[in-house]
Amino acid sequence: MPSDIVLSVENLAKKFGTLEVLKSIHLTVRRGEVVVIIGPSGSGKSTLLRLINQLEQADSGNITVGGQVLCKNDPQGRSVYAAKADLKAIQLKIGLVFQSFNLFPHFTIERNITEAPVHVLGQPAAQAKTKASALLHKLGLAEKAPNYPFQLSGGQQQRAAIARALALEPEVLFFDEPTSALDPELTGEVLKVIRQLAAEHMTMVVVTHEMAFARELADRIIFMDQGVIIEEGTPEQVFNSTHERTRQFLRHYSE
Amino acid sequence: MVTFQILPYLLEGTWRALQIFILTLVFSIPLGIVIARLRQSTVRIIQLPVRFYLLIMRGTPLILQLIFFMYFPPFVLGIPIGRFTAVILAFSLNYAAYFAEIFRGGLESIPRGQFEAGHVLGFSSGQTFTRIILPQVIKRILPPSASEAMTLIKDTALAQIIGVAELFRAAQNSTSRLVSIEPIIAAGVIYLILNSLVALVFSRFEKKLSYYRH
Ligand SMILES: Nc1ncnc2c1ncn2[C@@H]1O[C@H](COP(=O)(O)OP(=O)(O)OP(=O)(O)O)[C@@H](O)[C@H]1O
Ligand SMILES: [Mg+2]
Repeated sequence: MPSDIVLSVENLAKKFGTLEVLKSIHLTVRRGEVVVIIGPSGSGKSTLLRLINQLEQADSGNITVGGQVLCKNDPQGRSVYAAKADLKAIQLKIGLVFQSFNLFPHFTIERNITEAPVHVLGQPAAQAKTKASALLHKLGLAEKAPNYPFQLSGGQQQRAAIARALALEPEVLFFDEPTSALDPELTGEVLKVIRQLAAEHMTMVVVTHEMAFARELADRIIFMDQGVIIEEGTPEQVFNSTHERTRQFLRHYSE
Repeated sequence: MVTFQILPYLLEGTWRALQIFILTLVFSIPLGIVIARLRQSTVRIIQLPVRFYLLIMRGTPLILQLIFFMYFPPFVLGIPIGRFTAVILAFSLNYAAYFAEIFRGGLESIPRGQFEAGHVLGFSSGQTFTRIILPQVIKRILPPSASEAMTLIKDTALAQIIGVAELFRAAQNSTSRLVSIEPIIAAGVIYLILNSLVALVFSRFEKKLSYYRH
């Protein structure tokens, strides 16, 4: 069923100068799926998420989000982007949670969450606040609504950032190393939230170095190295891979 | 005490100085924001003239620019210009250059993640700028802007070079007419009072924005 596919990436390539950061990437994400991307530093994981979220421009390849074409190759094999109005509609179907949270420091936690629903979607303020309060409650931040980001711990800030992304009800939520900026004792509370979302069948693509978490949560794991998807499969398949590069990478984490 | 005698005259000059101060801020701050954004353009035919403008404005004396704007329009372009207009023109263009650089510094100090978060949440670039970036830039540039505003109060004294009777000219006139140093001291006190007020306004403003940290 094609409508089951919420994200499709074909032949995606990206260079920074002469450095080929992504080479012919193919990726399909189905509704309700949790896809975990692993791979060594510099393998292009962030760049892939940034391309899908319009934070970088593809050189070539096709990206389709929720049935809408974000970019598509022209006959010369160069990626051509959708019209500006469509770009925004496409971006609103997805959300991105950053490693460094990127909450807006001058807004309260509540306002961080309601700002986009009110000023991008045009929701009435009261409705946005009700929704924000429900999200904060769900993520264990009910008392933090009137606080400013600097008053929260890293783990709380990241949970607030997740709430901010969820407020726009994205079809797919991307996470770029959501726990890498956190002290180990705060990592768990963020992973717990992601686990909770997975249980609700939220479609997610998660870049992480938390291997135990990847193994436990992923429907599918993608291993990337040097701009290429080396292999993908169920956690069982990838963690028992016979592929030398995958085994080498995973050995670093098996201590 | 001759000061009381000449006080109305000094206050008239003070009012003139204040007019220069206020009008310069009104024109140079928005102009500075526009120039800062043009300066950041990656298009060379936009960026290069802006850089040239910044160099001229910051690289030559304000007093020279005042004289230039007094004489260039009437004698070269054949456009008559009033003294006061020439003062406001020169001051606004000059201060816009300084505010532009302060503003650009503030803009560049905002982490890229703030712009990216704005984009990912669907804000237009205009919305990201006004709702997310600008308020943070304002907080960061308040201290250097306060210094700039205090310099401006003192720089209004330069307007007398093209015959605008502001506070300094009034004090100087009185000093030579009355053969007394008092008017100059009185003018000094007035400048100090004005700048204390400027400093006070800015520190109030800073306090108001201290509710959050970056
Ligand atoms: N804007 C940029 N300009 C130039 N090079 C870049 C840029 N962004 C990323 N790169 C380079 O592209 C390569 C891939 O970077 P990317 O951030 O996608 O890797 P990653 O897999 O996310 O690594 P990490 O695990 O360290 O986050 C790296 O070599 C990086 O230096
Ligand atoms: Mg990365």
